[in-house]
Amino acid sequence: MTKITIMVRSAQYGMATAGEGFRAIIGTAGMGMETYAVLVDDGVFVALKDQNAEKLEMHNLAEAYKQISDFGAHLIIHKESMEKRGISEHEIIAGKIVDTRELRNILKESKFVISFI
Amino acid sequence: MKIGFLVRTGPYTSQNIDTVYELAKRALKKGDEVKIFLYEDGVFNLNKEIKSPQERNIADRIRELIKLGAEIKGCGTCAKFRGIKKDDLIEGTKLAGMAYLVEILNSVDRFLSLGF
Repeated sequence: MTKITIMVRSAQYGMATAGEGFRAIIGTAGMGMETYAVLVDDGVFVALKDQNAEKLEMHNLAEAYKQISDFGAHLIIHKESMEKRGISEHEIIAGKIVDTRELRNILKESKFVISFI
Repeated sequence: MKIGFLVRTGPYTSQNIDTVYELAKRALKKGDEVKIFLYEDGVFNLNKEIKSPQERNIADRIRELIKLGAEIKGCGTCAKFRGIKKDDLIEGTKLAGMAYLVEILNSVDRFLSLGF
């Protein structure tokens, strides 16, 4: 199975980046690619619990990302990016927290990397 | 060789489409196969009405790539969000779903993604 990593590096709602990254994740995973959705840099904010996007008339992206495992995609969250932003593991919706070394391995093993920034 | 491109930015603000034009043109002239998927604001590059007074014309560059044999498609959902209709598209280009991106990924030898 072809392995692809889709990196989301921007916070949700300020830019369309995280939402468009989500569509790409669902698309590649849904079409049978082994998909790694990696939240890194400001992208880690996407995984925060208790988001309320109703007043923005937008979808709750944390809930959306939480469901990517239903499509067979892996949700990965970069540890150092979380630490720099003061986010603890209790504050995030789901996903596997990895350090830079583990992230490097995921990237190395991926045939394709698409970065959403 | 088969080469795929993903372009996420529109014309004239970013020069990603210009970079893709230069790379794709050379590849096609060498006999390589080129597929391009335009995502997010990238779909604006497919607007057949692009006018560029005394400047390079992106629509003409897309037409040139089509003539050279490139396959170029834009994201249908992205187009919908931006009010772009099929009739607005440069002849020879089409709208497609994410399945087209996966088709590119599964068929190319090299893939280049250009965003911000």
